[in-house]
This record gives sequence, C-alpha cells and structure tokens, in this order.
Amino acid sequence: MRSNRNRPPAAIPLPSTASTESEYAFTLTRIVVAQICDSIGFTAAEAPALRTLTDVAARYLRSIAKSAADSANSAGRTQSQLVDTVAAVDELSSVSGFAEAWRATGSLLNSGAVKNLVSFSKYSEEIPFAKPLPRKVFSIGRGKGLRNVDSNEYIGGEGKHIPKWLPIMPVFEKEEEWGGKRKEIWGFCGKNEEMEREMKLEKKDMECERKGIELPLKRGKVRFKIGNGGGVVGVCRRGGIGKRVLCESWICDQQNQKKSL
Amino acid sequence: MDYTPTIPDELVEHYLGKSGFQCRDVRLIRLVAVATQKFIADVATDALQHCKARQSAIVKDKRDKQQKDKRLILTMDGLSKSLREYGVNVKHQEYFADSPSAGLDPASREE
Repeated sequence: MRSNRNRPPAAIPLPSTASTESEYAFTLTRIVVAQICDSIGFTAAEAPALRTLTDVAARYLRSIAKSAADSANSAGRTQSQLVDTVAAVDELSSVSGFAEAWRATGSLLNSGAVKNLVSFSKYSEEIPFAKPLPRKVFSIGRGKGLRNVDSNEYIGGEGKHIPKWLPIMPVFEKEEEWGGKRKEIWGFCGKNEEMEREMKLEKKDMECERKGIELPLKRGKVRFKIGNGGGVVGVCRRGGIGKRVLCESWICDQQNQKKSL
Repeated sequence: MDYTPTIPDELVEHYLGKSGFQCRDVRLIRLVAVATQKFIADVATDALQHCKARQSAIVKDKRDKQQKDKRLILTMDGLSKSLREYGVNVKHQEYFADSPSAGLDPASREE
C-alpha cells in the first residue's frame, strides 16, 4: 500500500494562475490560513478542510466589514471609524463569548474582545506572509468602482462595492449666489466622457447587429434526431428541417388534445 | 504595540472595500486582520485538540500494534467539530471516494 509520505503534496496554485481578482484573493487567503495552521502545529491539511477554513476566514472578514459599514452608515457617516470596528469585533466575538461581555463599558478600548486581541498580539509569534505583495495589487487594471472625475483616477480600495453599471458620481462644481442665497451646483464634470462611452457602446451594438444580419457564406452541416420514447417521431434531413419538425410536433399536440377531450 | 499580522493589508483592504468599508487608516485595517487571525487560530487550535484526542483514542484501542502515522492532519471531521462551537455548521459528505484506503481500518491499511 502506498504510504502518505510518498504521495505528492497538494499543490497550492500560484497567484499568477488565478484568473479573476476574487480567485486571487481566495488563493492568498488560503496561503494565510495554511500558514496559521502550520504555526499552530498541524503538519498537513486535507484540501477540503483547508478550503472550508479559508471560506470561513473570508466570510469573517466580510461580515466584520459589513457590520462596521452598517454601523457607520446608521450614524450618518461614509467612513468607518474605530467605534464601528470595535462594535463589529464585539458583535462577532459575542458568539463564543468574552470576558466582561455583560458590562457596558464607557471606553471602547476597555472592551473584552479588544483586550483579547491585545493579549493575542502580545503573546503570539509574528508570522510574516509568505511573499510580500506589491502595493495596489488589487486596484491595478480594475475597470470598475467609483471614479474621481477631476483627477481621472480610480480611488484605490474605495467604492469597490459599487456595481459597474452605475453612472459616474456627480461632483461639486461651483457655488453661485441665487437671490441673496448661496447655492451649490452639483453636476457631471465628466459629461463628455459619458457621451463618448455611450457612443462607443452604440457603435458596438451596431456592429453586432450588422454581424447578426449577414450570414456567413460557409456554414457547417448540422444533424440532429428527435426521438419520443420507443419510436422515432421524425428524422430530420438537411434543408427544410424546421418546418418538418414543427409540423410533426403540431400533429402530436393535436392528437393529444383529441385524446384529452 | 507594533504587530504585523499574517494577513497582508492589501488583502484585508480588498475584502473590506468589497463590503463597503471605507477607511484609509492602516491601524483599523490591522485591527480587523488581527481579529480574523485570532479567530482562525482559535478554530485551528480546537481542531488540533480534536485531532490529538482522536489519535490518542486510536492508540489506546490498538496498544500492541505500533502506530506509525502520528502526523497531525487538519481533517474535515475535526474542523467541523471545532467550527460548531463558533456557530458555523459545516456539513460534509459521509463517504469520500478519494482513495481505496479511505474507509479501511488503520491497522489493515499498513499491511
């Protein structure tokens, strides 16, 4: 019997092989989780177990972010602060419980969950990530997100949650006095850009339509059979296939209708 | 305290940005990274304890036969037990068709 040691180790795909951004992020998270497991004392991990733990880690990160963002939004802010983050950490730690969870503390840093984090960072060993990542690795070549119209640049890391199909955000243009009152004017500085984009899209549509109308000169032969249970209802030949199939099925439908009546 | 978590800042930033968390403060990003690292480390520690307990139970059963494979491997069984304590219910297939020796007794596997 082949022993486990002779078996080749499960290969972790390189980040360069990942096709999309989320796959790349998942691959990196898997490496992180594997490093943490290794530091704890595991010598190996089953592939599905590692995948599950990676998925849990990604979900944990997302739920912290969502909770903090919701907390900031409900307070009328777009930028999250320490208050929101600590509240999110408290909320997620409350499942397993932590010391002094029952007491409502005045100071944020007195929270039991945050104290646990401090002691964790104090007593645990630092494990650097396997390979240093280049800065802005996730924002390079990204075609979506909130675009800053003035600078024509993508804001790194921000606005990733905004769907691609939404239009460019209006920006503050100028202030005018209107009847003794100051009035802010908001608009699209990037109107021309949007027009250009629309024109391009229209052109693409036109090309697609044109291609759709013109049939290619050389077409491949297509053969198919339609069977109904034991007997063959219709064997279609090349040319005039559509009509024959339609006719037969219509007859079948008529017979069925008669039977039911 | 200057502590560098295992999870890179860029990766955390990516996940936070995807969920609508907007913040340019690196300290907050690192706080989230440390929280996640601690969570994963806690889950993995529990899974390790389950793994050790299982191995010691097998050794007690088969005292006369030497146990060769004493490696600690993260398995779905141990992981699902430890995750259950944190409110995550993981269900996996009862039977895997990964290798012919998967369902066999460890003692017979060596023969």
